[in-house]
Amino acid sequence: MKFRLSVVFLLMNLLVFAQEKAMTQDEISKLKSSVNTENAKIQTIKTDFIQYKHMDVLEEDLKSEGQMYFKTRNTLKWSYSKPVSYSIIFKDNKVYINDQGKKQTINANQNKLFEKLSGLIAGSVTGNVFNESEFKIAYVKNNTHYIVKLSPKTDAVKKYIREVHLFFPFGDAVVSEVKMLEPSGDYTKILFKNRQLNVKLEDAVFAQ
Amino acid sequence: MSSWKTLFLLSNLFLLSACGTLRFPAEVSHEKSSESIQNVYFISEKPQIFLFKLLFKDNQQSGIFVHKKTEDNRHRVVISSLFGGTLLDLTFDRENYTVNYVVEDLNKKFLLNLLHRDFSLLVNERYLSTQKIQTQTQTIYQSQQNYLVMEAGQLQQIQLVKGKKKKVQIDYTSDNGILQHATLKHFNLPVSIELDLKTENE
Repeated sequence: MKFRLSVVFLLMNLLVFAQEKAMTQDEISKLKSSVNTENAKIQTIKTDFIQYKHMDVLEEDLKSEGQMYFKTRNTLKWSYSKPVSYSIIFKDNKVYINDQGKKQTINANQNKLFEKLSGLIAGSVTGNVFNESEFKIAYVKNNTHYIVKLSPKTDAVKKYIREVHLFFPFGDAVVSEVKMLEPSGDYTKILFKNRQLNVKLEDAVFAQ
Repeated sequence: MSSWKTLFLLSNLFLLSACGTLRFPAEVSHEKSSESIQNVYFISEKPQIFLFKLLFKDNQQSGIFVHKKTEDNRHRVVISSLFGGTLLDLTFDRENYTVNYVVEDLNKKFLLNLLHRDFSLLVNERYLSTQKIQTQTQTIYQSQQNYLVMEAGQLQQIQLVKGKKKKVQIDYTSDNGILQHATLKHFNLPVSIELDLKTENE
C-alpha cells in the first residue's frame, strides 16, 4: 500500500511539475517590460542550437544541430551542421539558402508571407513578438519558465504555423527555447545553448 | 516553401523531353517466368529515415524522408524540410493513397499522383514476373510495365517502361540487404529524387 501511495504521489508531483498556469497581469507586465528593455540592448546574438523535430510517424524525435546568428534589425542566419550542412539567411528582404553547396536566393520583398515568417522567426529568437495585431497571445508559466504562446491571426501564416511557444527562464528576458506547432500536428522544438549577446559579428557571417 | 511551389508549377508544364530508351546488355537467355520478386528494402515495420534531395532543373530542395510500413503492402511516407516543417504525409498501397497532410503549395492532384506513383514504385514489396532475361552478370525480371534488375541476388534497379520508352528508373545501393542510397530519375520530366540512409551520427 505504501509503495502504491508513493507512486501516486510521484505521479502527482510530475503532473504538477508539468502543469501550466496562467500568468498574472503583474507578471505579464513585468515580462513584457523586461523583454522590451533587454531587446533594446541587443545588437547581436550568437548561439548554438539543438533542434528536435517531432513527427507523429516516429517514436523518437529527429535531432539537428547548428548555430544561429542574429544582427539587429532582422538579419538572421540559421546554419545547420548536422545532419547536413545547410544554411538559411534572412537579410535585406531576401532569403539566401545554401543547401549543401547549392545556393538559391528568394526575394522575400515580393512575398509578404515570407516577410511575415522571417519576422516571426527573428522575433522568436529575440522575444520581440508582443504584437497583438499579428497574434493572439496567451501567457502561461510552468515551474521553470514563462511561456508566451502566439497564434498567428493571418490566414497565410496559419497555413504553415499553428502556434509558436516562446520559453523565457525565470529571471531571464531572452528566449531559451522555441516550440513551433504545425497544422499537421507535428512540431519543432529548438533549444538555444552557449548564447552570447552583443559579440562582434563580421558581415562575412551573413554572406552566402 | 515558395521554391517548392515554383518547382511543381513548372513541372505542371509537362515539358516532354526525349524519354530514355530501354536497353539491356547482351542477353544470354530470355524465357517466360512466374517468379515472385521481393524488394526487401522497405519490408521492415521499423521506420527508416533518409536524407532526401529533390532536384528540379537547377533547383534543389533537401529534407528528411521517413518511411514506415503500416501493414502488408501499405506504406507511409513523411517528408519534412530541414528547417523543420512537415511538407507531406502520405499513406498508400499500389492503387490508392490517403493524404494525411500536405502543405498548400504541394496540394496539387497531378503532383500527388506523381509522388504516389514514384513512392509506390520505390517501396512496393512484391512483383510477379512474366519474363526473365539473363545477361552475363544480371537477371532481369519483367513484371507488367516494370523491369527489375538483380545482381548477386540483390535488387539493383527498377525501370518503369511504357512502350519501349523508359519513364522512371530507380537505382538502389545496399549493404548487407540494408538500403544505403537510392536515386529515382524521371526521363520525361527534369525531376530526380535522391535518398541517403541517415546514420545514428547524423
